[in-house]
Amino acid sequence: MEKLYCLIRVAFQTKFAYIKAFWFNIFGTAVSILIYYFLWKYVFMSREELHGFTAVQMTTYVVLSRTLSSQFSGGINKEFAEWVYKGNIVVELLRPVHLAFNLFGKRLGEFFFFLLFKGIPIGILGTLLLGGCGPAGVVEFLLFFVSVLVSIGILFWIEVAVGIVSFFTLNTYGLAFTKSALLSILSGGVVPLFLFPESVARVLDYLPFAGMVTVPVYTYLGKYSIQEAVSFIGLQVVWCVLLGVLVMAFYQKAIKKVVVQGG
Amino acid sequence: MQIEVSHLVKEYKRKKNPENMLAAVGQMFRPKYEILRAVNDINFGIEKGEAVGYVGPNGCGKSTTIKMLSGVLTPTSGKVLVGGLEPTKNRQKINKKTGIVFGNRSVLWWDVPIIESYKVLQKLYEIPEKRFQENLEEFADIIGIRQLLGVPERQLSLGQKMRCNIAAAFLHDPEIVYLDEPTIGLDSESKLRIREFIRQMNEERHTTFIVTSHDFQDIESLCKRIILINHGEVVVDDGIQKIQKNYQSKKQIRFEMDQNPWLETEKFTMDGVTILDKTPYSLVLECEIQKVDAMAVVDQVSRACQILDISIQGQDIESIIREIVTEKG
Repeated sequence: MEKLYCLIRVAFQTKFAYIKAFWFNIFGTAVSILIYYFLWKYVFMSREELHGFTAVQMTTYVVLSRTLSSQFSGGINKEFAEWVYKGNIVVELLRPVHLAFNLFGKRLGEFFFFLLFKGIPIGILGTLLLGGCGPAGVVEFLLFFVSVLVSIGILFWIEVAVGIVSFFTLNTYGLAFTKSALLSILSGGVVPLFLFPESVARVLDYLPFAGMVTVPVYTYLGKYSIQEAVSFIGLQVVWCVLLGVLVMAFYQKAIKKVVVQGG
Repeated sequence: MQIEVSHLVKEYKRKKNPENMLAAVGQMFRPKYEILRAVNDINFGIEKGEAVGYVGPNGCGKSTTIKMLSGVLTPTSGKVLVGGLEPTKNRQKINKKTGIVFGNRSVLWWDVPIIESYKVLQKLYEIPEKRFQENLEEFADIIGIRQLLGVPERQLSLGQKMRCNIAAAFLHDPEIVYLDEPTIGLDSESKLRIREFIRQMNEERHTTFIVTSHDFQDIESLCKRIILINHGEVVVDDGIQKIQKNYQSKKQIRFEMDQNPWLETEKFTMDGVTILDKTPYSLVLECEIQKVDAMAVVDQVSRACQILDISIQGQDIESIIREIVTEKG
């Protein structure tokens, strides 16, 4: 635990060193929220309700989903790929802790930084300024946080998998881009999943991607009953464990093939 | 035996260069590989507390061997045992007892003060607080990093970074330390300090060292034994002094004289002696010791002119190694 804490801390400190660049990142997210906000505002001009969403709820959906999915473009797969590409992976492999542990500490550090400097401020400010609604209730609010926490586990494993592919391709720019685009769409980060054809939406609901945006935001808005929310979060946990097992198996195979570039 | 390497082989697959455009398109779908043998049947053993120079020309398989010793790369065949354990299967366990220094990479965190990086290492390696403080205190002065501890690594110069990295490799009292080009690109002051520090660690703590370097002053001042590899095979494995004695083939003699009788000639009067350099008042000769005795050469010169000053030098280890490589390569 102490080891994890110090890895989280050093990742947090590293992020903090680039706080100036981070303001631009926040600005970018704010702009994307505004764009989607106006888009939906236009839609709601001609109607009161869309698939059970009121305009106010949709505003909250936009704020939360854009903020949560802004995590998709970053993540440790970038750094992981760079380690492999430049050969620094050798240093990380020689640390006395498992590479996955090392990466997880880093990821959590980045997540807490995200939460503190982006998630919470933008969530509150966005909701207040654009006139969204608060959480459906205290229990929903807590479950929302639990769901977001679990989603980091899912996201982490996906990022690791993308990083591992860089063992083979030695470059993941294309892959990283595909990852962030696919995750945004499949998780409900671009538009709510109910806009997909019903059969597709039903499948997407149960895939791990939904766990990263749809499940936490629906929980927050009270679109799920408490019981539904808990079972969806349970499903997330199952996905998280399953992905972990798969990715680790993939990792064990990949590590044998590691070619360390550059001397 | 702390490190045992037997019949070690590592092969890489490398994509074949396509011969024409058509082949290039074909290879996008079904790449052709050629097999490259980077390490070919290497054997050696290293005792605890030994300091070994692992040398050879660029691309001879040095780093590949080190990476297999540390468990990062899996050998194609053959066996590596470090402290009786197989590195690829016990990587974390072995990592705890080894330190590693890469001349061109850092183990520290780029954006945080050095001391913060050290604290992370302390936790990861589970170094007791007291031991950590003692080591830090001791290293801070020997290697001169006391003023650097509060500075983020990205603001340090190359030499300062290297010193911080070397200290980092010793914080957890490792039993084995791999030094891969530890003084690459450093000024002589930094080099000296780093060598001094490493030697002290070897003498006082009996840390085992494997040093790879192209700087033979590093090797000469740090190691007592050299393993020379070329084309992935061990060419020489012996003590430095023994190598110097056995492979020494030439001696250099430098004269200062009142006037130089060989100024106009290209060839020296004796067989097996070549003129390396000449001015009206000095002469530098190289003699092959199998063919001619250095004292006889001195004798010859002294008969032709008046010698003011003289120095005789054996070959340094660098040129000996170079000769072995070119001869056997």
